[in-house]
Amino acid sequence: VIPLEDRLREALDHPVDVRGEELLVAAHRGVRRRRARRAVGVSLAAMAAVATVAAGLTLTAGDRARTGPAAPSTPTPTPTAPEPGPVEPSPGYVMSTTSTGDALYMALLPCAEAVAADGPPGSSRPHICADDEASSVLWRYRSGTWEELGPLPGGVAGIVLSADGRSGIGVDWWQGLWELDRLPLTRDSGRTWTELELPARDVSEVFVTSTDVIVTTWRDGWFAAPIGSDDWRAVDPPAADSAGEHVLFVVGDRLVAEFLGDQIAFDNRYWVSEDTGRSWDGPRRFPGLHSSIHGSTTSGLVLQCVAAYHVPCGQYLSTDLLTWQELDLPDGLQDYPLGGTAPVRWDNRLVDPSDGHTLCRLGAGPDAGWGNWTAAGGEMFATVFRSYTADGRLIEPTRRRGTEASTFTRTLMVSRDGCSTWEPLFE
Amino acid sequence: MTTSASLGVREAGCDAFVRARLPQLVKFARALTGDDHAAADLVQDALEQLIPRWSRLSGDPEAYVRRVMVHRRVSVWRKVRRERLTDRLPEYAVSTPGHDEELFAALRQLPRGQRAVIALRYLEDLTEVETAKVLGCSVGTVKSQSSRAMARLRTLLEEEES
Repeated sequence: VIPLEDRLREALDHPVDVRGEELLVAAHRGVRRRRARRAVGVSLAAMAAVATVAAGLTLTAGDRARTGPAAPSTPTPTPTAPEPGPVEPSPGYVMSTTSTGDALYMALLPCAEAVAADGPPGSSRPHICADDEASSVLWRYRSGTWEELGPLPGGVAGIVLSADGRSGIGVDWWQGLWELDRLPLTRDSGRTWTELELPARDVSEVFVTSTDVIVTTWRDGWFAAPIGSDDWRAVDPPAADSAGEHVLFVVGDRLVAEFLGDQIAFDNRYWVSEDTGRSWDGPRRFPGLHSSIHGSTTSGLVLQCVAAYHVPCGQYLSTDLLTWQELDLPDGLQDYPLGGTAPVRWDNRLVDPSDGHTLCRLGAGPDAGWGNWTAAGGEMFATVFRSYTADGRLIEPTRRRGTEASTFTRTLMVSRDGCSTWEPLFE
Repeated sequence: MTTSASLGVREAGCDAFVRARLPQLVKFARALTGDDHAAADLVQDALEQLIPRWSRLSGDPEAYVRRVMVHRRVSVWRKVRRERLTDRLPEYAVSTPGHDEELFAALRQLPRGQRAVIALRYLEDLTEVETAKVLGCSVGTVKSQSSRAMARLRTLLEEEES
């Protein structure tokens, strides 16, 4: 058996065929494009600044690096979103989905030019986009009805909502914020957006509770600000008596600081704060000797128990963040790291990420290998890639995004019978 | 005053560096992204940062590019265009046969911070202290993220084998 370290070194160093000259030309072309865009961006920003003073509006969050200097920092709502009505999303590309338990939220990049296509069996309105709009639109699906909540700020491809479903932040395609120096923020489930200036540039994670936004950074510590304010304060991690650092988790409105010591990789101490980090209760102890948190769920934490000699001793769930209950998991799922909010596909079934119980057994399809699963309102949703016949030949979707890219898109599938059958909800 | 001629000389030096080090830069980007095409996009993005700054760089340009790539991701809209209109986006980098796709599939499931630690430790052979400097974090973070990443990789690879 090859040690993992050696396998990594060999795999990462495996040769790559690089079309260097062409890549270099493309990079120079990109530099010229950025210079030209920056010149335009400066002009637009100057116009926007005048408009801001005149109308009291602020710019929506966008790709700052590409659009020019920063806008004023005072958070001000964007114009009101369209009134909801019994409508259906226009053709577009499903960027992301998320759930608040009773409703599904879908970020959709609408087609600027949609082309009708022949879809697989069951398709009702297959299409592909020949061109896209500049930014996404947020839709909500609840009790069989679509509702358009409004446009998302530029660059935002998805939304992360607080436990109460009202407060939320916009995230980019990679579910990260590294390129944003301002945070798109909503207080009404995505209808209107404000911009919040971040307290540091090296943001590693952003959390949102029903009352606060919490930011962790790579170097500069943790910060919190009440939602609706940019009055950031430093959040001091709990004091520990040995060298190391804390990792922050947020469960509902509670903060959990897990301690990682410098001397040993894992530690079994953690602290809990009920007041957004102003005070900490602890240390509390995980079961096991070197246990560590796998991740948060909508209402608790899941940890992997590790005993002496690094022997695994099961997974545990805590909802009160004080006591831990060992999960009764079938073989195979014991070592699967649970936690998170999206259902997990395992052994041809979907399981709840908080405790591993089976939500449903999958019938015929769909294959959501690249997509994601979402549970909302008693229904199960899957975002899948599907191929379409647009030019007389069917091309299967593969990781190689070649010419087939223009003939497949993402479809939102729904199952209303416990995952036995699936049908397109939006395509 | 900058003339087009001096601009050309500066960019020529930059081009020579890129030509010499491009394969390694793409390998590093592939380790960060777990994907050949995303790697090429990431390198292109980083080079678009490097080229205009070339004459002002005082340190190792490769270290600069690595740092840019670690702290930056491919722009949202380039990613979206690649999803749809890649017949207009040529593929600049492809792994040669023998590529350990199983391992890269596991890498893709790691958080990006952990992938960065793995790339710096096992491709660039940086020490924990050097890795911490590139990432701008504590040595403790490098240790913990490295440990978690390796544990997760082992689990994922064992699942794949079973």
